Amino acid sequence: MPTDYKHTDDAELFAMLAQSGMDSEYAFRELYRRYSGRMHAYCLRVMGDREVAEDVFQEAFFRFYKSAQKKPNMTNVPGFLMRITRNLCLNAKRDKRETVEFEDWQYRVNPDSVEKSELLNLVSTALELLEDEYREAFVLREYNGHSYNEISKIVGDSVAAVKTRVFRARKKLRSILKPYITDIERNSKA
Amino acid sequence: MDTSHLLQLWLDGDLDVSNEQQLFAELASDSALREEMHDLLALREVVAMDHSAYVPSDTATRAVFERLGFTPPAASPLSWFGKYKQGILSSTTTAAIMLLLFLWDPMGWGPQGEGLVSPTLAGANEQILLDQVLDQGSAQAEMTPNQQHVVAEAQVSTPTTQRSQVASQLSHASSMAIETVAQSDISNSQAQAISQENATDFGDVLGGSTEASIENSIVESPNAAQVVPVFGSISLTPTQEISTSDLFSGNTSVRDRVHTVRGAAISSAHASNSLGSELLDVRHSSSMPLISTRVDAEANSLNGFSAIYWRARSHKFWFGLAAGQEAVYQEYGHKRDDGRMVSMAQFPSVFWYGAAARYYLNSTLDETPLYSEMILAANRFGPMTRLSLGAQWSPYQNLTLQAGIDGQLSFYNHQQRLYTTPSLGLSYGVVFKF
Repeated sequence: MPTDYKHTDDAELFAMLAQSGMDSEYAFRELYRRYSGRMHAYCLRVMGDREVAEDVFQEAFFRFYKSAQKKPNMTNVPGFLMRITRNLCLNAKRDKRETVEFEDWQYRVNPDSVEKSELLNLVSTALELLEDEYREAFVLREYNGHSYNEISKIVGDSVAAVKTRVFRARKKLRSILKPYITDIERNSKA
Repeated sequence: MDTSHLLQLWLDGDLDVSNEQQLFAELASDSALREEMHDLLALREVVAMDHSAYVPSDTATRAVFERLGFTPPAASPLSWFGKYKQGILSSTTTAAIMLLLFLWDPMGWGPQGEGLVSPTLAGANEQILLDQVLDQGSAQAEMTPNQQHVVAEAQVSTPTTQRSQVASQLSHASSMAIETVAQSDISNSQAQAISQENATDFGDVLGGSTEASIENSIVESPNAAQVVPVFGSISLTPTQEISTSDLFSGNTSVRDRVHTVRGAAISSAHASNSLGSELLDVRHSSSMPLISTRVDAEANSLNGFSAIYWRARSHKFWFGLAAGQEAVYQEYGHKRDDGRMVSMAQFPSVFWYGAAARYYLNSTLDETPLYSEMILAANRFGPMTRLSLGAQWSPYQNLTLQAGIDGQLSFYNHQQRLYTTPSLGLSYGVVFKF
């Protein structure tokens, strides 16, 4: 893969996705390198379940690529990708609710998470205890590093509403994790 | 605008200078606000540590590319090694050292030849028997060669275990044979009959095969003395522990410091099977807290299995290879604002292996041997160690009452940090030998 693709801007790469040949693949590879981590973090922390999150993640990139072939002009590529990912997450959550509503009081940590430190398990599990809109706002802000304006555009609510959600999410997480804050601090300094 | 809101704006870098001064002034005088700031910063730190969330699995990446007909990026073949490098290296090193220690026998204490009888334990018994004979003024030299053979066979055929009462019983029965043989002018056949009679007495304790092996050793073949009866013991040892650091004291995993509960625990079951100087010690323990704290509702349980393959190096020192697996079920509930209780659950588990050493402070032939036990082991997070002190009390033959105080200090490495879990427990139970 040509190294100069690393300096090619998103819009140009997006346009290349509609082209034939290896250019399309190289462009996709570069865009995947740039945004897969952020999208994955969003899927994982919003959905909670790694298996479901990775299904959504795969589908998002698939649809992203197919959309680019139909409409190759896009100025805000990460925003477009984020929108696709978010819609898929919302759909997945809706589908999940329909089938397991009767036991949605119970959250389970994915067995994969045993591989991580238990502290992170605890935080990710605590995230699952937040209401969906709070969790999403928190993830977009703290994990994906979006500004409040960007979050506002992604979720389609006012900046003030988004800020309130992030602030409340932090407070709720703090109250849930309060017994473990000392451990968190100790671990983060280790 | 309340100070908590100002604090959140400050965290986001959106606080202007004038409000910042106001916030700092509040922080100086308001300890609750300082605590909130401290907690929110800690929360942000842990999010920053959550690197794995940003890394799609190789499977997911491959699926994306293959679905589009592209060549998947090559996965790093060393990625898993890098992930578990510390655990792999420390485990391998520990295992190698332990294996060497296990095999290394500079004092010649280990079992020799094809038999399973520990010459050391047999030797210890012989020494004791000899002492008894000498103390009693018996003239072993007066024994005929055949009589000495009978005595030697009775000694060698002694099934040796770490169980003091068995050893004592054997010593007693054999010494009776010695005395009888030494102090009377009887024929070889009479001596054999006497020895067999005594052998039968303690053979009943150990099972019929013991009797048969002793009988064979005397009458038929000297090599038959190498046949050691198999017997086992099962003990139930409920343990009450009071831990000074966490519920799962004495058990090893990274769960320490994550879920700290002060309380008491109940455990455990214990079974073992002995082959002469070798002992397979299988332990199971389970515990759950009796006192719940900190969260709205919680349930915890620990289940652990471990096996230690012991070899006697002397009547005081045992060495073994150890392995175990421990799993924790943790579930705790949090009441949401809408009143619903939601629960979180996780099932961390850890596998460990290494070596164990047990040193009896007095002789195992005593009725109440005191022991110290150390396990050096490793798990995927790094090395770990356990130390404990305890006592056994065996006043009966088949049925042994066991009671002791177990002090234990476990410490292990996790993420370049040393964790300790001191605990003090009372163990009690019964051992039934068959």
